[in-house]
Amino acid sequence: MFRIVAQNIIRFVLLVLLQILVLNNIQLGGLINPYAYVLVILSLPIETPRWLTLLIGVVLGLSIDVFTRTLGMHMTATIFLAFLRPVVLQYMAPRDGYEYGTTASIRDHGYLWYLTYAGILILLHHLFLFFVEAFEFENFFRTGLKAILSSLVTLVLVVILQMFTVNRKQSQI
Amino acid sequence: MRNLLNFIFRFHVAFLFLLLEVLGFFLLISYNNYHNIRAFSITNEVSGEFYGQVNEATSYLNLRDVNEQLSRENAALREMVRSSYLDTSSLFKPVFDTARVKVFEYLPAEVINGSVNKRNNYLIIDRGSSSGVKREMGVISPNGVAGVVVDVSPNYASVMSLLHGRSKVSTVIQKNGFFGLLKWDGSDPRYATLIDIPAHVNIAEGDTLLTRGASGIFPKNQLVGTIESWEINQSNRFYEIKVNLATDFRRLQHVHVVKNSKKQEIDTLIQNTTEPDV
Repeated sequence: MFRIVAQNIIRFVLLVLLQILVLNNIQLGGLINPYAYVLVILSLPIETPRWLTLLIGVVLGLSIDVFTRTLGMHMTATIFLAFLRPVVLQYMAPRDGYEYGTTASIRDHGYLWYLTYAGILILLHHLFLFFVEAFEFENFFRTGLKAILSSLVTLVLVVILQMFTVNRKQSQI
Repeated sequence: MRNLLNFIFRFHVAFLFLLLEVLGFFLLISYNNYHNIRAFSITNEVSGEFYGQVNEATSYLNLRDVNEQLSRENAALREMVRSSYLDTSSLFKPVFDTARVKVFEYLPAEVINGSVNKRNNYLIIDRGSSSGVKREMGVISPNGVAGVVVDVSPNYASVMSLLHGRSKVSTVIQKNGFFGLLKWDGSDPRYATLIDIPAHVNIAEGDTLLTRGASGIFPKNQLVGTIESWEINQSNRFYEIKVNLATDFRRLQHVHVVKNSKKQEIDTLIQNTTEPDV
């Protein structure tokens, strides 16, 4: 139990640092801003209570907001993500439910499952975030395109980061 | 009560979600300049539409007063037109006066909502950017100065009235030409305070105060109010003059938006004026 909490806290800190120090400085053609910090929410244990997921969402969003000076922007989007994750998990559950102790990862559920799970959540999070950022529907298609392209890049990043964790765990064992 | 608690408990995640999202959007709107302005102009448009409908219904109630006011203004204007003056110079009759250029244009507008009882009061008028209203245009009532446009949506505009903490009008005493700033201390919508007039200036109760037209927002010599009473600030020997405002903000309905075609020129000049390096 303690190991899982510690693991999640370390993941939180590392991903927030990665986001604010590296990814926020990447802007490809003004269209693509990847937000890989969503992996914090995506990788929480499957048994996490829904209210706790929401609160972690608040803290995560606020941490990013404080460093990008956009108070509330990432927060609203991350809360939205935290609200949706249990819904998507439930929808994608295997017939007999999740086995206790499995995590939402490539290692436990395979590529197809993970890409669907992460793809849906990342896309919804990015759409919400980019529309909150624009705060208007006048440039609907441009905002939507930005969200979709950024989601793809974030998805690729998230899968790559997953591989890191998998390798590390295998070497630990 | 029990059912209510059950209901809340059953949907506690949804409630928590909504609560947190509301908090998030509150932070978003209050701490981000862009989102703040967007939200403000959306609410401006919505509330403008609503108050416009309400005003449509209630404006009939004070038609009598408005008519009286308009006919008085009409009479005053009629006295000013050329035909009401006796032409004593039969020698020269200018056909087209090229010596004068029209600087100020007036756009009639109606106040559809306004407050007088807050610390900072705004008026909403039914003219917006589609009628050519822009920020920093002056607004005058038939009786005197009313305020300055601070925000514009397509069909409505918010006007910072004189009854606002940040309102400052450069005001001149008609009889001797000394000028100071007119501010509002936030208590009584009938009175404002004129400061920066040195204590050696002769003033009397009932003296007329006019706009100075310093920044080009208001035309020169528009009535602001009359002197009601005064105190002398003993520490710096300046007057604090209590001014009886000419405009009655509690029943303001018809106003004119003042467009100054030379305003941009004045602003550019003020902005570009830097002291030369010596």
